[in-house]
Amino acid sequence: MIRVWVDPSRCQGHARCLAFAPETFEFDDEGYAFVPEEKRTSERITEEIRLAVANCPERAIRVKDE
Amino acid sequence: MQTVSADILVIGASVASGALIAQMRADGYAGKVVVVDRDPDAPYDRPPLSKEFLTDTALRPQAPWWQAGCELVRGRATGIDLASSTVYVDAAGGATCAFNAGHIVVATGSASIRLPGEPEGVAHLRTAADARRLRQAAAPGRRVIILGAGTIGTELASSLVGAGCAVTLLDQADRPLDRFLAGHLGDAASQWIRQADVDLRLRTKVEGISRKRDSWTVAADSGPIEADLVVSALGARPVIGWLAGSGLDLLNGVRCNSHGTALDEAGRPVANVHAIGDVAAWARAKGGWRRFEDWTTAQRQGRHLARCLTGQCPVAPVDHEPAYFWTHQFGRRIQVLGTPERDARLVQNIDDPDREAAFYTLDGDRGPVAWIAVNSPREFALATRQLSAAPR
Repeated sequence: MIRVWVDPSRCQGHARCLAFAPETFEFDDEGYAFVPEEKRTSERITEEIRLAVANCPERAIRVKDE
Repeated sequence: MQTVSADILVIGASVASGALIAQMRADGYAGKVVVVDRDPDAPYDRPPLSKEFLTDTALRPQAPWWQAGCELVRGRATGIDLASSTVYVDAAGGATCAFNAGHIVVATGSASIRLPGEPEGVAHLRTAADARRLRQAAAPGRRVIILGAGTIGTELASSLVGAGCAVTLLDQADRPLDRFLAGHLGDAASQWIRQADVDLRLRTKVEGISRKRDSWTVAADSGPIEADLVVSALGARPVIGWLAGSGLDLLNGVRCNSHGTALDEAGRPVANVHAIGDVAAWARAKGGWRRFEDWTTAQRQGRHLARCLTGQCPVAPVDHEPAYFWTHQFGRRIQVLGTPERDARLVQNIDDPDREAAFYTLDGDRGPVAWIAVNSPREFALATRQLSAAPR
């Protein structure tokens, strides 16, 4: 299982994750990204999430193998 | 002369090459990758250099996109031989080495444009060392002249007035950020720059720069301006001097096909030589070639080329996704999605002076071509989401 989340102390609202993995990422009232609770764990890392991680200029997306 | 062999040789330890290596390793590539860079600080992330790094104390910005999985060699590439797939390098230790590789990836980036006859001591902002020098020089009360009101010049002006300097910002154009915003929002940008007490002088040509000990004079067509420091931020040019005479097409950077393989002067692909990042001009789907100087394109090209080199299906066509660029200055976070065009029509969707927030759409003949958010990350996120959900 992998766990995906956004480190709120790093996210600056570039919204690149919304461009690459719109199924996984959401944004709050101020435009900062987060992963809804029900989408935080999945079987494997998708290509979309990999691209979102790579494209985040602040490296705010965290992926952990559990 | 010492000869080193590698499967893949990358010249330049940049975000583009970091993305290339990360993608190849993620895809299980096990070959030997050697990276050569002349900058003793490399690798580091460049966007912070003109922003928060100037008021930071770190030695260099971090490079979170860089991972082990390659051998990093300090040295300056001096030439390339296409036929034998060899790059000649003056190593930091003084020796000249020949690096022989199955594939050569040119990622030498860009360097600051210099004025003709520019005297020694004019500051630039390209490397971590440049930024450290500026950081040290930026003491309260010092008078600084910045040449060029592009993204680097304006970000630098913002950081330096923040540090207490008296900043004069010159540009030949009649508005700031002219290239970045394709001529749009000139009045708004002039206003936020001047409100911060930057002496912004537009339509101003520099005729000469002179120095007497620690005192500088910039001779502008409107008269002389004196300062303690002059910074040139006139833009960047691709670092291709070392490739001169190689047979590669170097009209504007290293001209490549749409997958990043370099073309020779006759327009034929050179199968073992590739280019990514600022130095590369890839063929575009809609025709022609274009060089990009942004972080997002650099890392996307790196990943795309990685997939091509390992013989896998590419991530996505490189110009499939709209471009993204951001700048942070004068308390404003400005985000641009898409590519602004001069003849597009600017439509303002949000205007909230209290938050210094605004959101704009640039409408072209066939719909919007770009979205510009100023302190409006929520609207920007919404636009990004709508665009990524829209069929293309």
